[in-house]
Amino acid sequence: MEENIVLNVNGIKLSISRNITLLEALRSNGILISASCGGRGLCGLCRVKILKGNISQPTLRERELLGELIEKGWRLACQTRVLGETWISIPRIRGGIVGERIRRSINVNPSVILLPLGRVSRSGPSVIDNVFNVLRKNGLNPKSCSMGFRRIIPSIVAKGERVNLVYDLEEEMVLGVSERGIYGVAVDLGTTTVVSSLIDLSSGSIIASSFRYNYQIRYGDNLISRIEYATRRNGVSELKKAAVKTINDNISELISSSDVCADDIYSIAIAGNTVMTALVLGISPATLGTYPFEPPFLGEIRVNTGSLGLIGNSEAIVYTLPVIGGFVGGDVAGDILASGLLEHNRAMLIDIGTNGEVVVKYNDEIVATSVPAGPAFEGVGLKHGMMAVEGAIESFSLSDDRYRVIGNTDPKGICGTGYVDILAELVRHGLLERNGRLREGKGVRRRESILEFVVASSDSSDIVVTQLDIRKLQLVISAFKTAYYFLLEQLGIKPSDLEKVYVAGSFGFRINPDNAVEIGLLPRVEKENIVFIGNGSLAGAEIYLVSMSEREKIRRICRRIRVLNMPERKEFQKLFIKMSRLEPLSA
Amino acid sequence: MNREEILERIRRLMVEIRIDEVKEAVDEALRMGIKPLDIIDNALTPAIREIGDLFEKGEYFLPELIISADLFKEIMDEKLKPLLTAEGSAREALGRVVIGTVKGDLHDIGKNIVATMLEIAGFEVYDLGVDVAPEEFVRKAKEVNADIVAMSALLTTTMIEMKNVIELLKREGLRDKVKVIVGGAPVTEEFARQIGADAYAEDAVKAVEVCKKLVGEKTGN
Repeated sequence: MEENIVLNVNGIKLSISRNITLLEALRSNGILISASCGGRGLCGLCRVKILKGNISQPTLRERELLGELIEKGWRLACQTRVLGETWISIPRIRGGIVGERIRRSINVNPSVILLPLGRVSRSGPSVIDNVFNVLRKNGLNPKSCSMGFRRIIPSIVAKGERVNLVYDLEEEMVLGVSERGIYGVAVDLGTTTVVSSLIDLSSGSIIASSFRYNYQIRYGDNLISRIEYATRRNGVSELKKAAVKTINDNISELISSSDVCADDIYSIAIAGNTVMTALVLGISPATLGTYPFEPPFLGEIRVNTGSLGLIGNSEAIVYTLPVIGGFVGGDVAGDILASGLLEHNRAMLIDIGTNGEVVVKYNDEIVATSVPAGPAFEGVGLKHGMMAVEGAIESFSLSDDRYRVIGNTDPKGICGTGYVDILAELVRHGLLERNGRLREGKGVRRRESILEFVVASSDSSDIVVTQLDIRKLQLVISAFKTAYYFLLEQLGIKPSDLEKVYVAGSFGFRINPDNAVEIGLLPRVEKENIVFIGNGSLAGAEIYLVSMSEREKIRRICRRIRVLNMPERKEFQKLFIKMSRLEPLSA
Repeated sequence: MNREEILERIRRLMVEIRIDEVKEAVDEALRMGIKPLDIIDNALTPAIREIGDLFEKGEYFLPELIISADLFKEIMDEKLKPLLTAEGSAREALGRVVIGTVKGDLHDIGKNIVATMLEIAGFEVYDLGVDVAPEEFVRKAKEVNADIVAMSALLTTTMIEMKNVIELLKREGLRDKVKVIVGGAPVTEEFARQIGADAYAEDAVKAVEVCKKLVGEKTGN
């Protein structure tokens, strides 16, 4: 029998096997930390702090890379084996960065409401009839009630107590009674991260948010590998379990931090791309793995918490935001809800992520496409790339030779927003040609025959962007640029016709708009017309919970959106290559 | 200008992809009486190899690779091949390659580059395009008596199709007649071995090398 021990990470208890490395332990629990060398003890990025516990002795590599830091408790996760219960802290993912979001103001009219009925009279043929009569007198048209309600209501009426009824206006159904309040949970179910928030349904206000990596990561770090895993024996059910557990751990954290009772959660809205949505429902996304990439279903799905295994009142309804078509799913429906896209005649929405999407609206027509961009802007596969966590260079300017590091520490690497700034600045100052080739000159040098630009110098090591990094970033930029060019062309409009460009995605929240336009990542419009909405999927799921009218509107809109696949066009290759130039799309 | 100088000039202009000037220099060389094969072997082919190196280092990108390949083909088709045919000194193809992106997969940029590079290297190439069913690979391989079947896949969900093609080649009794090479972003050496392919190549430059080796093995050279 394998012996399990407890690892406490930032206060969260994990059960792990004895004698595995911290890096393996964290990864198998869905916690991703940077380790660009693949866990060989070379990059020093997987630094964690040991608070107390029983661990292996420092290795030679750790002594070399950490030096005196070892005495202060710092170790490399990839080199440290856990021998007994241990408490560690990992450099904090910056305060809720993945949850940062803004949303437009909306009418709060949730479908789940709390009705104080007072004491129910006992004049009718049954308790349920009596309750329904009161509701009808209030102008409602109840059609059914939950089993939970049938069980609880007779004793309340018998005692002559006041009844606070939980009623779903859309379902025209009595869900239960509540003495405390009614709550909802909004979920942004991302391929990599899952962010959830707790909403007070009576006021529409956000009480708390929580974040964790998707536990599905152990089955593959990208969508296609998840689809592939889903086609294996029991694959779908394992992936579903992992998604449900991730959401449940978020919910547990939300309710314990805010003193809300799980039974008072009456609705849950989940916004995810098509694959994530299918998987959390236990539906196979297999058809999305191969051409013609049709999704298993379109539109919204409604299901009980109980049947999914989610925490909440067993009568609560779980909504998955509408799947629009292809890979374009409820995450985009959320973005559309959170942004003001629908309020304009000509506007664009870009969700910048590993799996990106672009939506363009022109009068009554809305078209969308997905962008398999890859994780380069999350730092993956780049020499000094890293996520937007402590130690990452997040902005850069060449004119005053300045960079800013998250957490104001020494730079450990570069995150997506940093790369956008670096590319734009190098282009502006003539060190990088528009075709993406570095020019030897100030700050640009050759190492092992590869050109590279030195972003930051220190005694131990330099932080650089290599010519090969630039090519990888160029492919991502080209993917987005091709996508929005293609959609604009389909509708016969130019970038300059756009009234607004909404940019969603946690990475998108902090991009410098001038720099993103300079290299073509965003179309050229007036700076004030570029609006960053952050995590639009989460904001959209929140709106879905608190506004019945918005919910109805987005269901209607999603049926009208045409999803177009780019690579089916013959001239795609030519276009893609043309778009790889680091310049704004010409108007 | 002597022979060395003009060949060097063609090579340099080709690497810099100065389209009109390369063509003029090739005309000039022919006027000087330099043999087409000499131009191909000692100016154009080294240039293409150098462009491949620059691509590997990231200094050249997809546009350079594609434009230079097209330019090479244009010079061959318009200027050199007609002369070679007339002289009767046309070279026999290195081998016949049937190439395509597997079923369920529409990615073709990488595959197209490999196809062109193979052609430049002297292979006879039959490009079946994208979303190619196993039956099509096998039918074409039979029809043209192919030496090599080359397959590309960009998705982990579609790369398994490569195995299906290999299985079908076996069932049709063709497996020992053709060599199979595979490539594409998610494909690895390990995967190639697992599915019973003969070789794997990580990029277009390697693919040409590997294909040359494969036909060598076939003919026992």
